[in-house]
Amino acid sequence: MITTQNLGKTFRRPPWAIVSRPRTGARSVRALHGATLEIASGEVFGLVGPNGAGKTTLLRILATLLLPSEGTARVNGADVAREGHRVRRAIGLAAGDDRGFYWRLSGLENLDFFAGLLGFPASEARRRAVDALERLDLLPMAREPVGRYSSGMRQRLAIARALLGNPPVLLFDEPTRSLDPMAAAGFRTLAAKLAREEGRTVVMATHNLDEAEALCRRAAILAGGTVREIVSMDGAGGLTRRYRALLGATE
Amino acid sequence: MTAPVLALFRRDYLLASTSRLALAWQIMAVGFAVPTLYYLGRLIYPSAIPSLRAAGGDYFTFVVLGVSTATFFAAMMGACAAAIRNEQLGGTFETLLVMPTSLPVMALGSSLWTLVIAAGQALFYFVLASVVFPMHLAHANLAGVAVVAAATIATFIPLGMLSAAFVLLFRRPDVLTGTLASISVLLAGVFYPSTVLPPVLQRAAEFVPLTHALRAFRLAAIRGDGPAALQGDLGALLVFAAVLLPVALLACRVALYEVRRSGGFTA
Repeated sequence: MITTQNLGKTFRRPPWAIVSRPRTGARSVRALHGATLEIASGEVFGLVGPNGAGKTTLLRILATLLLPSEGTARVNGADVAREGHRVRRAIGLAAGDDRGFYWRLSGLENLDFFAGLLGFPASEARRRAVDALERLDLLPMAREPVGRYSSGMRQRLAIARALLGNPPVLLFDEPTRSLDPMAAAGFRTLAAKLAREEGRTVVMATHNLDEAEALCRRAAILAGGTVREIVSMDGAGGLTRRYRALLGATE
Repeated sequence: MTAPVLALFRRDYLLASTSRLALAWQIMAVGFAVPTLYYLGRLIYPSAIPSLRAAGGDYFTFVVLGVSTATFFAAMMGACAAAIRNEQLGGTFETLLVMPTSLPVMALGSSLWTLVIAAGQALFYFVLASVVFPMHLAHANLAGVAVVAAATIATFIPLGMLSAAFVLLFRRPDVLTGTLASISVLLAGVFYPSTVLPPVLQRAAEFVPLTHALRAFRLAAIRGDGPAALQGDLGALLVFAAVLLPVALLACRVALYEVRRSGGFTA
């Protein structure tokens, strides 16, 4: 279960920025504010909104990568600011970019490594790496260097990495951005299975409203760093209608 | 703790083995350095430098101990900072921060490969200098060497943490290690006894940890002094460690807080 209460994040320049980054602007950026959410265990929850809406910032706070400036967030009962280690044990994150791998190592070696960081001994790490690669249809490329993977394959590898520790909470940032239609459909099937059959909580940021409609039970529409509305899916395009009604003028 | 450390070590081994030429060169470089130091040493007559007598009177032995020890501890100091910088540049730092591995374990594991290579280089220095060239370590006091090594490691770990904190905070290459290495080469007695320096620089050298480490190492390895005879330099190293450790811990804590506050994960 995930709860956030008046969660906010403002990026400010550090006091020494004048020394290290003289060309950076002085302006503070309020990326997220007043975000209050309650996401149940086993729910697939969507975060939708235009660029700069605060989706990635919210996911990064939940992943303990960013400290909130205001408010609180708890993941599986652990506070993201004060109990980061417990939160990190409970989550798997697949970020939107594909830079988080060692490109000279194979997909299998990368997953072996990350499973080792999760604390699994070598044989168990290998078993989990192979399982995760199989789940994402990457076994045929397992021994190829990640540098030879396509963007979509790296995206699938990032999802495979998020599954290594069998975490109860999965955070996906634009998980189908680089995937072809078949792979995207495969991801949706997998995400639904992870939530419905395995009881995991899935939070995904996406620009694809149809995908959110098809996969999520509810979705938060974010804009300008605030949660504008939480929409329950009705199976009849309700999310898209509300999105257009709320943001149509600014899109 | 073991699995993450081994995973980090194995990753660095695999990455290094993708560039075998660079790995071979790290060892080969010693093969060129030792003869260079030997032939340089033939130009220097101990009788011309009375201060060499305190270190056994043999310049080749003196300088090999100085260069190998300084190289090892510079590598030790810079290992963690270099690892963090590589992760920042490669874009993997953010991914590592999401892992539940504790930061001390991450720092140890990320430094281990560099330390093994640096220790291998130091060992190769000694083997080559002793077997092929006439380096004299017949009187070495192993207990003395071990105690000095432990005290020096205790001093250089917080220095390494400070370098790592610098890289985390400023997302710039590690300038602390390079600066301290340059100061140490000038003052600490790597290539010449610090007693040849002007009095003001000799006094300044006492504030450089490597000065005490090298002096104690040489006395233990060449003259065979035991821990009791080395207590002056050992005490100085432990004072450095006691002062630097809390500062380094605070610096790392502040740097990590700032990384998570600002989202500064990449270069």
